[in-house]
Amino acid sequence: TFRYSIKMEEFVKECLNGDGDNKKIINCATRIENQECKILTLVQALGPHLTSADTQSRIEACKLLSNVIQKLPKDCLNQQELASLVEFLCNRLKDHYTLQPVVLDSLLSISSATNLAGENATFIISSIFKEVHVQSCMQNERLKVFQILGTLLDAHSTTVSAIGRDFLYQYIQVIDSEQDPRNLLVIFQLTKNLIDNGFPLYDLTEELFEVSSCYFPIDFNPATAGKKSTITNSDLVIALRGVLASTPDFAPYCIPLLMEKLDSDVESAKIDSIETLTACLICYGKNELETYLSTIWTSLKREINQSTSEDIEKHSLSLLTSLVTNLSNWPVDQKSDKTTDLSSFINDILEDCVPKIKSPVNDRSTWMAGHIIHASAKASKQACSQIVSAVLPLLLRNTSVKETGATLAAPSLEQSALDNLVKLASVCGLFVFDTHPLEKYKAEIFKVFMKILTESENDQMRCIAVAGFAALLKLGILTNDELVELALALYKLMTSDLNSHLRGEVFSVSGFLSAENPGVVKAHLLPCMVNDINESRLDSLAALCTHFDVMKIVLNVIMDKIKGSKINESTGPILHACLNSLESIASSRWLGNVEIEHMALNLVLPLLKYCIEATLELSVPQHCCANCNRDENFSLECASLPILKSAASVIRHVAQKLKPNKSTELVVKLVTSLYVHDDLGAFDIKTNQEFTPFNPCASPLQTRTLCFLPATVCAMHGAVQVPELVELESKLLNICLNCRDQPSYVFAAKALAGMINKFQKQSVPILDKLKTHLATIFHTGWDTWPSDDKMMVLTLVIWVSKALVISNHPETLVFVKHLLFMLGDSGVGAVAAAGFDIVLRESKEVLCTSSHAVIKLMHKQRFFLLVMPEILSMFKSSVDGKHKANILTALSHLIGHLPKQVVLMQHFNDLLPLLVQALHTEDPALLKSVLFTLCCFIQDSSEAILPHLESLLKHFQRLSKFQNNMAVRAKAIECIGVVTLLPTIDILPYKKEVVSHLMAALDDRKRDVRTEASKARSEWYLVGT
Amino acid sequence: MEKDNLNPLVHLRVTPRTRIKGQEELDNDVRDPFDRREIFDLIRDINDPEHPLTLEDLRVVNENDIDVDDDQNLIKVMFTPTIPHCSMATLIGLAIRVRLLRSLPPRFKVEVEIAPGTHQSEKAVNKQLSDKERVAAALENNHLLNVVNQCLTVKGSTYGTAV
Repeated sequence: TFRYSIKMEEFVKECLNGDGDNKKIINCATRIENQECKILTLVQALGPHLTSADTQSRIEACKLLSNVIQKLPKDCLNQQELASLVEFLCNRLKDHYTLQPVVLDSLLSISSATNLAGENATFIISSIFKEVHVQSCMQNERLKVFQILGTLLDAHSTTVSAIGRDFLYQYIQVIDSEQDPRNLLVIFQLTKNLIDNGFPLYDLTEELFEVSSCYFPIDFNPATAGKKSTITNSDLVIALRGVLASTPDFAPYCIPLLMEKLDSDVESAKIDSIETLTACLICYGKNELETYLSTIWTSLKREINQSTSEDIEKHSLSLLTSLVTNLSNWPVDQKSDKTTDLSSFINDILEDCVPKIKSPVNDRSTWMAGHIIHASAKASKQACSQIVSAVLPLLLRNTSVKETGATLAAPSLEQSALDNLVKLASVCGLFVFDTHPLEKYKAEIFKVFMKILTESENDQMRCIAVAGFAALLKLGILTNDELVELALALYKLMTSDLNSHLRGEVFSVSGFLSAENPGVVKAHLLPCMVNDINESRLDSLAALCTHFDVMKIVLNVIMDKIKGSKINESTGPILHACLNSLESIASSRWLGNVEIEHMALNLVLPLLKYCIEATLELSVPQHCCANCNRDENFSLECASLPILKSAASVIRHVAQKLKPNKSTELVVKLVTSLYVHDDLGAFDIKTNQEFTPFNPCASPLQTRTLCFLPATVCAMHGAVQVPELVELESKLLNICLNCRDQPSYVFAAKALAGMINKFQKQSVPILDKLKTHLATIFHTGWDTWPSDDKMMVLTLVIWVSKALVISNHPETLVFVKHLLFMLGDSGVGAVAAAGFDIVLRESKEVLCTSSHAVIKLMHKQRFFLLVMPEILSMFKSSVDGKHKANILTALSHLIGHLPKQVVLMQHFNDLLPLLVQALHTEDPALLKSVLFTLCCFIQDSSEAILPHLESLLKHFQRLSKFQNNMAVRAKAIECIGVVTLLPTIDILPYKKEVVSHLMAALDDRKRDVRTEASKARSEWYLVGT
Repeated sequence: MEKDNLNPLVHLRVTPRTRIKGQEELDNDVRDPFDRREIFDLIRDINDPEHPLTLEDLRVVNENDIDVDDDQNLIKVMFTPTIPHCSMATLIGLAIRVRLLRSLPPRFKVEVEIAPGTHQSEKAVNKQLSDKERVAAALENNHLLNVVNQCLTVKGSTYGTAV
């Protein structure tokens, strides 16, 4: 040990001479941690310096000790060591006050030590209270004191509470008049913990409340003082609310305070008071609230009825709900005849609201009375019951004012009564009643709704009635006869001509009826609807598919209809209607595994079979539709193409939802064997024709069936294995490079991209093959290729790039470079630029999240960073105007898809010259997109744009007269308007010029431009006022 | 300040917010004539001076009370105060006038008047509003201009959320 103490003395000497560094301190700490030496040896070694007459050297010595202690793990020191250290350090607190900050550092580290004994903890606390005059410390030191108290209170709560009243008294002294928000945040948490841990408050309740509540309501706004702060106003508000709402003991002080602040004129103070009271209600009960009930209600009533802010209204209503909920839990004296507290409070509410509801004028107070009624009814079962029986008869009477005497206000009064009725009915759905309060009025309500639904001509009223039926259905109190009557009424509505909003409402309530009462729908609604299916009926059928039983029937009906129609020009509309309706069924959210599996076997397979059969039949020359026969070739307008696409979309929706299981495997197996082996037997198709979808020279109708590959194999869950994937991929590549039918090679490229993305490992060979192939064709006679052939290659490059970009694939740059290269091509350059849009735009068909594609986070940002340098250097070296325009178009797509974020803003200075250059083009599409980008820039990076403001405004003003395109004019003017969001001081100099310039645009020949101009001009007029 | 009408009727918005565009409106070469809907869109969002509501909500302005003659360069707007003794009628009229002054090409002659029979001092107010010099003088008054500007400030900024 002697050797160690020598060493320690050397260490101390070195450090205090200024040669110590962090490494040595860590080294020392490690030795203490490994028991090679003791902390007390260090203290002894420091001895002479600690007793030095020079304060500064005492501080240095304490600092060294503190630095070492801070590096020690929490469980390193044992109880005795800690005890001696605590005693030693607390004695140092008595030393010169400049030592205190350093000592507090050590105490803070020690306070969280695992082996600290309770008595030492209390000693630390009492020493601090005694020796440190907290109010006169710096913010940092005060924070340390609060942190020490916090840690000790957490770990030694029982020992600390043993100090009792004295602790609380001192604590209140210490936190009194704290002003720093950082410290306040800690104090609020500390006080809340203290109370939550059950620390007795003795006779100091009011003092503790005062010392915290003096900050209420908090209005902390560092931004106005130009300071940045990590603490927000809401942090402080919530922390303080935690303290105020922590104990019912505060109630006698808290409620009057909150009521007083509620009377203030400041909106934020009002809202804070309301929210705090709502929070307090959680721990308050009858004892706390009884005396204040009428005061609270009076204030609330005032706020709700007279407030000018929707926020106050909203918060007041939710306070009312909590209050009524609270009252509902008050103890009830079973024996006494007196009405309960709850019911007399509800009576107060009703007394206020009922006259307003009765009043023949429909104004804001009627409207608010409705809100008050709902907010109270929502609170509890008893409240709901009482309110329903009091208000419902009134509302029912109001719904039919017309008969008693028509006044001018009658329709709106009726409507608001009906509205309230529906809302009240849906509130009832929140509770389970023994005897339902609506039961008594149900028949009458049903009649009222039915009358409106069948007789009214006001769509808005009918919408409310439909919503009313939905509420009644949800309550489950309708009898079978009523359900049947409702079903028939809905049928009538569905078959009549309705506006789209009402139609949507009718559909959703029919769907609800079907989900809750499939029996009624099957027996009474479906038979009428299935009777004669036409295009307009199909969406109503889809709307009913909210129950498995109903869905099975509907699927059969629709599939039968499809199977019965051959594809040609005349059957187009009905087939499309059928497929759209199937798509909406397959895309609904409620479908579970059972339903989806049923659809895989009974919808996907038959539909595939139907399409393949149809294409086989049509691919015989002269058998296809009129569009095809005319050119004696299969045209792009062939009637079968849109049908195939819609069918693929239906199938995709099912495939996306399939879980990896037996039926899924079956579907994949059948599909692959159909395509890879041309095996028509897999689908039980009997024909004497050959099916060769992978032969580039086969009939385009056959190669176009490749659209089913992105919809099946590429849409399924990643865990579903595809047999013979490699074979499939190489056949697809062959089509991509050799098939001249445009839709076919696009489908093939999408399918291939989908597979490369999802099955990355298995796709390495095909990617290598493609790489070599592309390298050769770009270097040998590419320029002499016809445009059509170039387009084929371009399509493939775009889709493969997309597959790689979204998965952050390491080979991305290779393919993207090809894409960039093609920007300079005279034939397909413009399409290549548009390709950047395809790469980043979410496609519905393939490579999307719902198709389980591998999509990495931030891929857009990575892509941007990857190509930005390439684009910039290419732009600088390019001399061809068209090429430059293509590059800018690509860039604008890139920026358009990028989330407006730091990445973009960092490159702002690189990008701006390019964008300004782009403003010189005559291409409307490019101009539009550049202006759009600039518009976003101005909104997001006000500071960066300021140096360029003058030149940009000149450009915008020039483009506001761009005669060739109205959208460019409108967008340019919008940019001028958006400039008003910049700091007033920077834009004020332009006000006069801009305002007078915009005058001409006010008389533009297009209304859109005029609208933007008047918007912008009005905003500019307001600049600086 | 005590409000004239503490509890005004709030009405449903009759005119839809978005205007459905016709084919010719999308054609850059066809001239779209000024019509009453366009004028209504300009003034519907003006704030009422004493309630947090717009002139449309209070039915102070209606699409049907606007007459537009694009060829003769004439526009006439009639507005209906919420109550016959509304002291804010002149201010509302002024706000409408200023908005139109700022948003319409100068070729138009704009008349802003109280709908007949809806205000007790209808004539006096109309006279004030039609007197160009009095309007100009009113706008020289900074306090009044501020109140008007407040009425014309669209809630929640025209251009989305400011930074």
